[in-house]
Amino acid sequence: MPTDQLSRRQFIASAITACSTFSLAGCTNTPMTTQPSTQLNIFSWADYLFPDAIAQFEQRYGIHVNYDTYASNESLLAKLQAGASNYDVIVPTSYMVITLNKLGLLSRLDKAKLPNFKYVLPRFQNPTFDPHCEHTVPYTWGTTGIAFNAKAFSNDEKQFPKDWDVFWDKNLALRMTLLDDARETLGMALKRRGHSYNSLDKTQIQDACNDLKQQKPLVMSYTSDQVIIQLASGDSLASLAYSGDVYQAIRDNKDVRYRIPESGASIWSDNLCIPESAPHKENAYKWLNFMMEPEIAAACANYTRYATPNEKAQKLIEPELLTDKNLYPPENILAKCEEIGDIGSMIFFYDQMWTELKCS
Amino acid sequence: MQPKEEAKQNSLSAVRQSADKPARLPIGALVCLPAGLWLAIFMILPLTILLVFSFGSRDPSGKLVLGFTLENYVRFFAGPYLSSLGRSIGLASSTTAICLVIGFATASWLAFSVPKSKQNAYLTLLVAPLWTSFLLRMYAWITILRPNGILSSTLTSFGFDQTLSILYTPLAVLLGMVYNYLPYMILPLYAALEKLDTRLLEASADLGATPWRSFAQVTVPLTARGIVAGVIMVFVPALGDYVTPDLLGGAKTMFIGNLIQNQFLVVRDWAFGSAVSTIMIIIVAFAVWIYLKYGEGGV
Repeated sequence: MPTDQLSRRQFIASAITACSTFSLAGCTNTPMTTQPSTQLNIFSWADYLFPDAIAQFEQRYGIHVNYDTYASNESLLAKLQAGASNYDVIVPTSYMVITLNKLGLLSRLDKAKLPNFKYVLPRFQNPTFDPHCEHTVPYTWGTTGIAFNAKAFSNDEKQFPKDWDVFWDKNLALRMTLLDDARETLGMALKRRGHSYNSLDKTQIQDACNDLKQQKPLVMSYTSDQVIIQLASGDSLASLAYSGDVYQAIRDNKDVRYRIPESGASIWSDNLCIPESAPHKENAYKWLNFMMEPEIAAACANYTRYATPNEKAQKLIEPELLTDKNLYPPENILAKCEEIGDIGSMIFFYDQMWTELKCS
Repeated sequence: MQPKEEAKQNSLSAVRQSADKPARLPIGALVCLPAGLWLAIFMILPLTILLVFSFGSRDPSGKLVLGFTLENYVRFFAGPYLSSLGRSIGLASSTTAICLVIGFATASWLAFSVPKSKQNAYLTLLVAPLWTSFLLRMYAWITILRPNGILSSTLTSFGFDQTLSILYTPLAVLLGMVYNYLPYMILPLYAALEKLDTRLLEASADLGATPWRSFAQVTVPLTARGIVAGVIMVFVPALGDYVTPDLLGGAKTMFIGNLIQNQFLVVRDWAFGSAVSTIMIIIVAFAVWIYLKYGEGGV
């Protein structure tokens, strides 16, 4: 789940977004035509492709790609539920796949049109959130853990933060960030208390919220889309962050480190899906298949730093990424991690607690 | 023959009159039609939808269900949400006040001290930042105010050893707001001051008024329209701003604009969002009405 940072790439992405808004507006009422369409509208996270990906696709298929971005699963859902029907490809996180599926917003995939699906590692071919990948194709996976600046901990391995308590450390006051995301941040506070990310117990959630309220004066900002730049610039000394984002920041600042805390982190995967309402489904299939090409998947993984579920692509990935225990965690660490799941209408209570935290 | 002719003429003029009257009406109506349609489509219709939605609720999947319940309004006034309204009014008021002070000084300087030939150039410079994207200007401020940013590192190089961190504080939000809305205050004030007859100020000074008294009793009443226009143009958008608090305030506090945006774009509670929007519209309309009525002695 990467996000935007202020960079040339981001600027270009925004420009593309702005342009796509116009072109999307233009095709709102276009009826389905028999001739092959030459458009593809992608709705995804910012900075989630290697820079040349869209150009390569456009060149090979002669299809014009519009790339629009969102900063949280919830805003993706809100837009789709409000009736946005122009998008051909979306990239929801695992728990959001369940919600979208319940609402009938995802189309069933025709695997015959996705020959490259065979490259997907077997353990990703039958996820619990979407049995047999009927509606999804796994794109990346990662964890949400602690990013920190080694200098703030005297460059001493022994002092490095081990658990979520780092976000309650007064020495880091106003130099830490949390994600502007109800499920991730409340979930972190729940996990710290030894509860589940998917707790359905109102008292537990309330307690977690109270912990966060008490911790709020230490927070520099709640943000999901400034994390990379805040870590890279050294503004943030500790951040609740998505694994790939942290490694993108490490490219610019070698003092940044990532760690999966001892009490466990959240683990998630982002998936390529075609909405039921997609106006250019054939082009969407081409994109999905393109993204599963080993070379393309590897280029994305090398650039975004997120782990790829593509077996053949793993052979093309920079070796130091593959051997990094925090990016590709071994089984014993994975066992401590928990997947954020669909919690039905309990999400409303999480939202309410989140709003209360922000209003406090 | 004569009475007949008279009668004919009478009836003719009657016809002419009756032809004149209805002919005027359709033209008037036709002229108003575009504006009326505009108002109906872009103002009355959305406001009605908002009002209808605000009495609804949502089902477990997050879809809006129409109905009649006052629950959303009760929830707003009973919950922690009221604080966001208070904060917004506070922020918008202080933004307006600061803009008014700086704006008045700048506009006076522009109108009185800058030679006429250069005034247009200065005005162009004033609005020049508005030609770039609002977001870009906000990101520029982030670059300046960051803990390791331009301001902080400049101060450090002058010997201050504390890292100055203004970004993500209420001060940064206020600064960004003032920066954003200042041109909207200066322009109407300048327009009003430029028309001010300076001989009146001389007369007031001749009659023994101190500069302060001249300002309070001559300048302010004569530029009241500009002040009202500037205050409304700053206060109203400042009240609903949610981007500046998010970007410069670190999304730590919820202003009323954030609360509304959140209900529609994240939480999917359109009914509650509509109720909060309705409350805000009523408050703004009421404030503007009061202000126009009493604020400047009934301008």
